[in-house]
Amino acid sequence: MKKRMKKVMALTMAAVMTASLALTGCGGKKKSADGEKVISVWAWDVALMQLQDAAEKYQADHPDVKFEFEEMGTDQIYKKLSTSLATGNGIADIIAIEGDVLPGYADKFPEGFLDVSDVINTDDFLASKISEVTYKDKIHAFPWDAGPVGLFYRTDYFEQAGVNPEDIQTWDDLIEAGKKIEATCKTPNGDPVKMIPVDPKKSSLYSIIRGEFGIGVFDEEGKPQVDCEESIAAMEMADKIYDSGVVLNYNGWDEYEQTVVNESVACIPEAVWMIGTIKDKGPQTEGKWSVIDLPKVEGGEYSVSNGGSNVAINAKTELPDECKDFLKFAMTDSELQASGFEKYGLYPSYIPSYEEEVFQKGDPFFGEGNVYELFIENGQKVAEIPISPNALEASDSIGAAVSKIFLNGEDVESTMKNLQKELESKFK
Amino acid sequence: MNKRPLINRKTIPYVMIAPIVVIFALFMIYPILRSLYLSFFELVSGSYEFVGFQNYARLFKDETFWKSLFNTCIFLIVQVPIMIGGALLIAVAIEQKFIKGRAFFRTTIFLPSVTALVAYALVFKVLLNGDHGLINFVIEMLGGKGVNWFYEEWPARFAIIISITWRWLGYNMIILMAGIQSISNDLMEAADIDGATFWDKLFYITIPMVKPIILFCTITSTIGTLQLFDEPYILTAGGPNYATITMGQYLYDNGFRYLKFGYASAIGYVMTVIIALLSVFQFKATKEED
Repeated sequence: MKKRMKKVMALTMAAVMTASLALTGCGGKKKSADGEKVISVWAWDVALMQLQDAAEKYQADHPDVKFEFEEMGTDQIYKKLSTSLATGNGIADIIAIEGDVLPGYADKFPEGFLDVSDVINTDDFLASKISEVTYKDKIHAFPWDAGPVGLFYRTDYFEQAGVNPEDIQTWDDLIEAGKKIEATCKTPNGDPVKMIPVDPKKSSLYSIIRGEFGIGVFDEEGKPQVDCEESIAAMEMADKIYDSGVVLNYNGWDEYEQTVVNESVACIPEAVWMIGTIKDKGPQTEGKWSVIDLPKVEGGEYSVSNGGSNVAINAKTELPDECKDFLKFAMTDSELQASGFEKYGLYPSYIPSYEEEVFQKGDPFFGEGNVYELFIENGQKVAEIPISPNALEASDSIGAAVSKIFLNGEDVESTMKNLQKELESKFK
Repeated sequence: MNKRPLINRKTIPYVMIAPIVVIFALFMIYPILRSLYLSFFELVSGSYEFVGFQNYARLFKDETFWKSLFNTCIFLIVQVPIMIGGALLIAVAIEQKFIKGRAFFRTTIFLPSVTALVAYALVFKVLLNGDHGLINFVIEMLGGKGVNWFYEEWPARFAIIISITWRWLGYNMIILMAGIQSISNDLMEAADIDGATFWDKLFYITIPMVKPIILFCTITSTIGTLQLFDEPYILTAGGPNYATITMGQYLYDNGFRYLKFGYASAIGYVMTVIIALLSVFQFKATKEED
């Protein structure tokens, strides 16, 4: 009898162990016993908080829908998505996802996300955001926050050096002004003030200038076009700015933020979400910042966008209609968009929400005048650039080319020609 | 006829080791086999398509891969000897009789290897900063010219080598020290009587006696360096111009960022083969001498 007990014990333990092993892989998909509808959501810090606010408001009219929020960093989300999206098991119903990452998943897992074309009125959203979520005639996610770019600048440095912001029309003007500012202004640490921060390992400055021409790395057929005239002109301009010596090198995001903390740059060409970082990292600079339109490159007429995210629905969700309905509410309720912007810096891509008071009154941190006006205007002037699943990989290759040109002094045209060949052979 | 219980004298060892075997099979063996399988496939529009050796063929034509292999070799050839040699010297130095506060030195030198990876990498980023970093400050104070650590290819590689040496030297030192302590005092006393110098003792007694431990440290460090990921990822993001990208990071990029799982698996397998070959070579090289 005793032996028998032991045997049973051992077997039970073994079974429990195996079962717990088997279970670790799957996030619980709970079906409530009393017919409650539970929608699970994955998002990162600010995105999650905003969706929580939206859920609270949504539940007032839909008391039967419950939510389960899980805070996940972007890296965590992407790792889980890449392993589980094929089956749809073990991932949430609603998932926040960054704009430049979405096309990769849309391409590798065409059935991974629910098509939301039927609940989106494409005219209500910024055209550039709609093209960001559309891949192979399917809308894979709700467009959410957008990143129209402007030129943030320090009014005090400009005044000191006698530079009139209105005179900065082209990138050449920026270089000239930069030289004046470097000669006159000192940071609180006593170093000369540089004009803009640049990471010489990343494609960002080149991408901004290329964006002004309204073209992407890939054309509509998905063929790389980095050796076209505009692209080479953009890289030449970026190189000219870098070589002029008015830039401050930074290495990674932490050092980028440091340029605000140390007040070491007079300008930052960046998306609207930089407002949050500037206010957060440089509270001592209140009232010293303002914003103007980006300097233009000759022949470039478009505005540029950088960053922003979207929200997708797991195609295998048990509650497709509820998810769609909730997201439609969360993304098109103007009041929510306004409060999300005010509280978390999520600049909406839903055009009617720009009528809200927040967008009309501006932010006193950025001096007099309405800092948002420029971004609202620019957001609608961003070119509709076709997305590509290879964008991330191409952007890394461009970053390497940027290093060759900026740091090793290699020739722009031949480097871009080689880059074109490299990309063509990679994405055959 | 009594049925024999399932668990008896003969089977109990298997039952006892079953949990670890199951875990090992599930989390080690299965992924290893699965990634070998995957390396012959590529994910296309939601399903895996068989591509034969195409992933491997592309890999050998991929310049970035070769560069990552080159960088990894540089880290290996330069960093591992410096670290093991340094660890051995420090271990021997701390074991000298006249040293006071041995525990203090041991702890301080070992401490880096228990620091959090991200935290220490960020600290090195600040130390090595070209304009305001402490390291350049010291170089300039001594009359040298500041190094542009992160924006030139070779300095960036050395920035990585400096950081990983700082982190892992203490760990190897502790292991070597254990070996040195186990050397019998008789040997040292006999050598002293024969009039051996410090260097004689180091080369003819200490090093031969701890050779198996040096081999162990070399193999683990070699494997560790071949799998290097975090430091380049945080310090330099693999740049400039892929000067510091390692095979580990290129694998990560392909798998989790570019979603090319088959290609990433192929990189993983090339890494495995290289690691296996190097380990066999190191074992052989030291066996033959014995």
